[in-house]
Amino acid sequence: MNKQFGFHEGDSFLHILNPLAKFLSLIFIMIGILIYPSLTLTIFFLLLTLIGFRVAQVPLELSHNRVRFLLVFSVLLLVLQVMVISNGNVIIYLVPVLNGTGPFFPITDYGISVGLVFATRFLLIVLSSMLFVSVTDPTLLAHSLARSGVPYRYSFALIISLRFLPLFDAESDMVRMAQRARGITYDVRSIHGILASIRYTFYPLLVSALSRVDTLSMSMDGRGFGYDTHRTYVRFAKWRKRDSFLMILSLGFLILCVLFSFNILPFPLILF
Amino acid sequence: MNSSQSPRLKTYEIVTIAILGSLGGALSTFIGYLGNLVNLALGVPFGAGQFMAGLHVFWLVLIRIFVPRNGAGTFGGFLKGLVELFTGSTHGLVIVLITLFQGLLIDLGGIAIKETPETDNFKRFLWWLVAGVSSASNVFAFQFIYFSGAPWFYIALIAVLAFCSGIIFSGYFAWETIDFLYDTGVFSFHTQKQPPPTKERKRVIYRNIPAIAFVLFLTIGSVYYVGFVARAFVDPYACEVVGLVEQPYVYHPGTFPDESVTIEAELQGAYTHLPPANYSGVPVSRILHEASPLPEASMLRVVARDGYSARFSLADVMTDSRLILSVAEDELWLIAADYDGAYWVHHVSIFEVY
Repeated sequence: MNKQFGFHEGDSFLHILNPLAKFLSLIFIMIGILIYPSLTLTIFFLLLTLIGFRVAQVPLELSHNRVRFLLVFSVLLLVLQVMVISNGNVIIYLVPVLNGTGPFFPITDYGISVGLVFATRFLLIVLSSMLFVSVTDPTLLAHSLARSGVPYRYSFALIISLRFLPLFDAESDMVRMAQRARGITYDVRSIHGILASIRYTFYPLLVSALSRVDTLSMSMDGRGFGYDTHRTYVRFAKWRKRDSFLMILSLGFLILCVLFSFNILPFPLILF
Repeated sequence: MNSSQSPRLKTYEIVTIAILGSLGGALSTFIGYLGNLVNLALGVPFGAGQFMAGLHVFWLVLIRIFVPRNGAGTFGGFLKGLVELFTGSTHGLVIVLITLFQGLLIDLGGIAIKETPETDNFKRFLWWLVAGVSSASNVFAFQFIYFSGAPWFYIALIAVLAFCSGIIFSGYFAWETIDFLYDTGVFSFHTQKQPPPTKERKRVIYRNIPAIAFVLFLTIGSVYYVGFVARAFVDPYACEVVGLVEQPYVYHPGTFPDESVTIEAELQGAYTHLPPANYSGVPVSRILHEASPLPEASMLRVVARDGYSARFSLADVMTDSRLILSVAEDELWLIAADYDGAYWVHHVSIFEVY
């Protein structure tokens, strides 16, 4: 798993919130932002997310490749919107009138505002998801799902998936080294090399992963997994008042967005 | 694999979904980065990386085939999406929704086809199509979430690219992998099927020719369809008149050939202006007159394809002979001679009377 953006242990306010409350709040806010695309609200939540990184003491280094990529990508989104939208007040033409032809590629205020909405929305979705991942223990999330009514047999699948990640990582290295020891090298710059890579690395990894299905499932069955409909946990996240408060806030936000979106409630700061 | 008729998933089925979801999620994150790098290298925000879109759906197909239960694809999609989220997908939470939807499509396909890997070639072909559709679905989801007003031609083209990728990677390649996995006997404990006989080299080549021909046909055919045929269905020269009118209808240039007028107008924008030029078109009042606005209507909202809109007083519009709908390159353009430049709406698609 990516160490830079995986779970960071801590005891901040964001860490101690119930994982399920965080997950549902994130979904509600995302849906709200999608159905009511307001630049003001998006920037507000983006700032809140950045403060969240600070509060949770999770580093968000701008020099890191992934963060740099996100910024470049959001700029590209902005540029694309500005280029394809010709409506609104024209600020400038990229190609002015030349010998009676043109002008072409108008940059309009509407294009810029739409571009900003989409670029900030992208940043908000990705950064808030990163914050959620950073402050949420995936095992506790699975347990919270089980305690919320999802049968634990299914929520346990998430735990298996996440637990196997480091194993696959190690196995992948082992397969590559084993093939190299056999004298097999491949050049992934050609189609033939890619196919060879699939045959000699991907297939062994897949077989190795699937060969664990039988042993693991037999082992689980042998320990009585699924015997009872209820399960107890050593570690679990309690649902507290603050979680209920968070849910009320995020659900309230979603309802407000629906009301704004259908013009049932006026909102003076809307972009469009 | 055998599956019981019990609606509850067996432990080995849950473990199979979990392991394939885990492997798929981890590799999809990596593939997503590669796709984004391709996009950045070509200077486009998305699209170019769609040639690998099928590799994301590949895992869902594998899950649905090895666990042939309704809902296995959706559950696998949800799980794979969560793993992608936790391993650092560049799409954040959105990836969970997208893979969930892709898994749902695979499930729906599975229900419709009632497929098992050794069934006839026609069913296999149908599976490829389902995989292609599932793969292409991400394009529309991303379009909805991150983009607005991107040219439909571009969207359609990358959807076709994703569809073909789905056919190749989550259709053809997935079945090659399934055959290979049955050859290895990796599912020995729960598998009732006999592994297929080892294929001769000649037979493999013979079998691949139709697949290659199909993909080529699909690619060329789709590009032709999008470029030349589908254009007729998304008419950039159509404007719908809706709202408080007696007869809603769709206006097309040429409807009133004798009523086109030519006016001289100068675009006076807040920041720029275009020098006076002649523009020809049908007065908006004539177009609205055909729809017969109701007496209680007082305003007109002109809506463009990119979501932009401009509002006019209906009374002013009905007496304004210098407010015309002109035909420009690939669009209807509202020439509002006596209005500010912001009222000159490009890509007009709707006249809403209210």
